[in-house]
Amino acid sequence: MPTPPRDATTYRTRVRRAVSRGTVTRRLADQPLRNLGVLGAGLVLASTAAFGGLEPVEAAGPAPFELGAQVTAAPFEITVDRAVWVDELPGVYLLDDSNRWLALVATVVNTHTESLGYELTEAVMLVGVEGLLREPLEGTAAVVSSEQSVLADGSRLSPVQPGLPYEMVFLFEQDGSVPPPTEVTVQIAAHTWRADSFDGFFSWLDPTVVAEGTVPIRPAVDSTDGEAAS
Amino acid sequence: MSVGRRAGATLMVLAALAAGRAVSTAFPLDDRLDAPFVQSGAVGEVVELRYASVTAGDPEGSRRIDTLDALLESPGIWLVVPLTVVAKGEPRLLGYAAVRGSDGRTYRADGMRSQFVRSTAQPGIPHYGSVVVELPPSAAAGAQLLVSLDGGDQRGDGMAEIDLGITAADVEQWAATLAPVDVPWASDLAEQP
Amino acid sequence: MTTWWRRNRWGVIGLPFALVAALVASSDRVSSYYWHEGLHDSQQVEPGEWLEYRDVLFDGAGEHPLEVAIHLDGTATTTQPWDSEIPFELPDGARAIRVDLTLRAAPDMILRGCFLALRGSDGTRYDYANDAAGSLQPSSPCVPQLTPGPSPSLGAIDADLSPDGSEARPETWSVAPVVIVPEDADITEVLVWWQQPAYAVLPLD
Repeated sequence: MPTPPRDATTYRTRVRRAVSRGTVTRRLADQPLRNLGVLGAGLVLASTAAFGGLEPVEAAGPAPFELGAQVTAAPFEITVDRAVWVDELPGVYLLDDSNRWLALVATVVNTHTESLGYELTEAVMLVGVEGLLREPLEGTAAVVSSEQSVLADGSRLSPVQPGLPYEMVFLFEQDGSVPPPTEVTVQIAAHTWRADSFDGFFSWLDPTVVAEGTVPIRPAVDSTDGEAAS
Repeated sequence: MSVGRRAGATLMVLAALAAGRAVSTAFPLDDRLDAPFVQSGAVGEVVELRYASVTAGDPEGSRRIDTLDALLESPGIWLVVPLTVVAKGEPRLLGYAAVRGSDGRTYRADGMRSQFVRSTAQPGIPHYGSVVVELPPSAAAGAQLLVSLDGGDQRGDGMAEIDLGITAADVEQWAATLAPVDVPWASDLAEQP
Repeated sequence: MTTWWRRNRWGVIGLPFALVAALVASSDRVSSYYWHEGLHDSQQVEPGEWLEYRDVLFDGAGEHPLEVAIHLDGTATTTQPWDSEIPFELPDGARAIRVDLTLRAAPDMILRGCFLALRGSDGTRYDYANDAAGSLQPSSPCVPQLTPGPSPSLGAIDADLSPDGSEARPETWSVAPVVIVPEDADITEVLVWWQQPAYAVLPLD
């Protein structure tokens, strides 16, 4: 910056004279390209404001979840028929006999081209239910099930074969000292088929909630909840 | 350098880059580099792999199986394929078994329901196990059995691909069967006691 | 005028060394994926002699020296399993071979987690399996079943494990594990190892 002369000429006059003499333009042209690039980029970004470019991103919220409605949660299609709780189930063992099972009875279809496993566990969660034994997912109040069993024979649903409609149940163990709930909030999460950024290997990653809702939960009609009337 | 020479050099660099890109993307190598070395066969034929010889027996099917631990029922049909393994070089525990359906989907035998019944095979001594898979009836006719050594990674090693010879008539019969197919434990003895 | 060779003589001389250095520098996978994933580092003796076997073992408590002397007393075809009430059900075309070994080591040497195999003249390896042929032999083929001596450390959970109540292992002892092999196998060596890639080779007479 040149030191301002001591004479009385105003600053504005001096600028006007410099522009008309081309000093300003020449100064701009003499700037390193880098600076002009930054300036240019800033101008382009600012101009996107006219088209909504500077608006905050609004993520689409999850769809409402209802019993009996099919949810497309890649790589599955999941329909939760009913929510029941029961004090014990044959073939699955509580960590403490005084605890109970909260059960989401569902029909699940794997729509991928290969057998799946962990993806089903990550797809269905209970939110904000007191006394669940499993730790919630980090930073959330959502808990995944500890067992996924086939209703017809009580076996663990593993592997989940493609194209087969499994009638099964997601089981969540709840501390017996907590009174059984009358309603529960359910979240269904979809995965994304993408390459792992570390080794380029493709798998189902990033479970994201696509459906959420609160539904009533009632005691199972009998201890073999697969036979409970809906 | 003159402008002309500089422009020429720039064009050469761009041409080299374009040629490099064309060469590296012209041939679909990635799938081939990752693919296993497939040995095809049919039921009853010995398939020779680097680490073992494997022979598949005639598959049986039903809506139910009896694994001695549990009675399992499928929304589709169960396939039980007997598998004889003779290890080569050192004892081998085969880690990968799956059925490729006629729909092109892969139904793996690696869990609590669909399972690969086998133990470690001592070289030269036949080991008898089975591959148990549930799948939709529509995918069963024309299905193939896939067997390999490493459960986690089948790239670059031998894989047996065995045509199970399943017909639509077989599938129709099995889909209507509720009598469970027995799944014996893995053993080195040819006949189960 | 100097030739290309003369001008580049140091580069040409250095080239083989540079190539070797480049290969070695990028060969860490050969170590992890090949050398340590098999039996590659043998210690051997003449038939009938004692083998002073040396290795370094890694367990939950770190590194331990392994020092044990092994002698192959002999092998014999047998029909009975070692130290078991349950008889063999041998498959057709198989036979059972008893391996008589005498070992010598300090009673506090950790030797429990060992492996034993027979190797044929064609290089095929036949492993000892304690549940082979329908029987149930001792799980470790190289220590006495009732006085096996100390176990490898499992690290932090050692404090939670119940203490081993067995008596101290003697300084010299014998074992007789039985291995199932095909009838026509031509067995030439007994192999014993704790942690790959090191292993002991005891040739048959």
